Amino acid sequence: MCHQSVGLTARALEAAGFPTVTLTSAWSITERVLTPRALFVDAPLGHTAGPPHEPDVGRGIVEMALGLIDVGLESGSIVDSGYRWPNDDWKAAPLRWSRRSEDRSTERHDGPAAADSRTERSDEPQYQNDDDRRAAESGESDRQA
Amino acid sequence: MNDDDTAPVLPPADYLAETRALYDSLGYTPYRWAEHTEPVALAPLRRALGQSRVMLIGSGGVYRHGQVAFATKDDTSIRLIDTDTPSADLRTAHFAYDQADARSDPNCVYPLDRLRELVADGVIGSLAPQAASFMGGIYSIRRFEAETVPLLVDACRAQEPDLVLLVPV
Repeated sequence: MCHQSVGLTARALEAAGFPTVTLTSAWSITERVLTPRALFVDAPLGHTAGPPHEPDVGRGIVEMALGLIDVGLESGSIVDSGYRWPNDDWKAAPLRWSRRSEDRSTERHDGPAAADSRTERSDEPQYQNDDDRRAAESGESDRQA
Repeated sequence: MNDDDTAPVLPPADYLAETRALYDSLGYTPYRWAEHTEPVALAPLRRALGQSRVMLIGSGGVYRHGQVAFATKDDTSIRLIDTDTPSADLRTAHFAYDQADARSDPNCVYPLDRLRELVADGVIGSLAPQAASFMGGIYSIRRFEAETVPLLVDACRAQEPDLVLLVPV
């Protein structure tokens, strides 16, 4: 969904007069909404701008994405960064992180009448830690600023 | 960027097909993905990259310590984050990706440090004073386009970037 949301946002921003470049690790989704200019990064979800604690890799990806502005791409183009995650194991079940924590095996769940094991979504703010919750609830800052 | 001969060769993960298989297995009707068949007209470039003001927008559910975290069920709000915020103050709230690496190094999904380096080295001119963030796992395309997109367009109008970098997860 994230890649769809971002592609739709990029289209709206271009229409409003703002040039965009977009990173993507979900080629098929980015292509389906014809995201204006995209750089493909072949990595598991959550690493669109590169692996953790490898600033040189991340910087290369970000710089390459920004550079797409200068190469005369047609709208809807996806360029392959050439980056590849060190292994392909994650591709056996790339959506498994949307499942509940007790069910994140790499088994595909396409048998008949499988139970819906996706993480339950919540209307409540999902704080990373209790300290964040306390800081937000004490009114240190408002919702958007 | 990997040039070695052992680079993997599997094709990109196809999340459309994965989602279809998941919904089929659950007996659900297929998710109706947005589709556009016409490319949008590109906005005119304003200035060279080295002079450009760049604005970051990420969909990884990033918020700053002290802000209200995102809910995971169709939260259509956005957060504005000062671009001088230390990465150590960035958090994530999302449901559809493994947040462990992003929480250890937010640059995986919100590369503020990398952008600051690119400013320091003159690759880009500057950063917009504020970056924007949202939780992109919103199932309703109608709600996303009616509620979230206008907030992001308004944020851009306020920040006046020459170029916007978008980072989904």
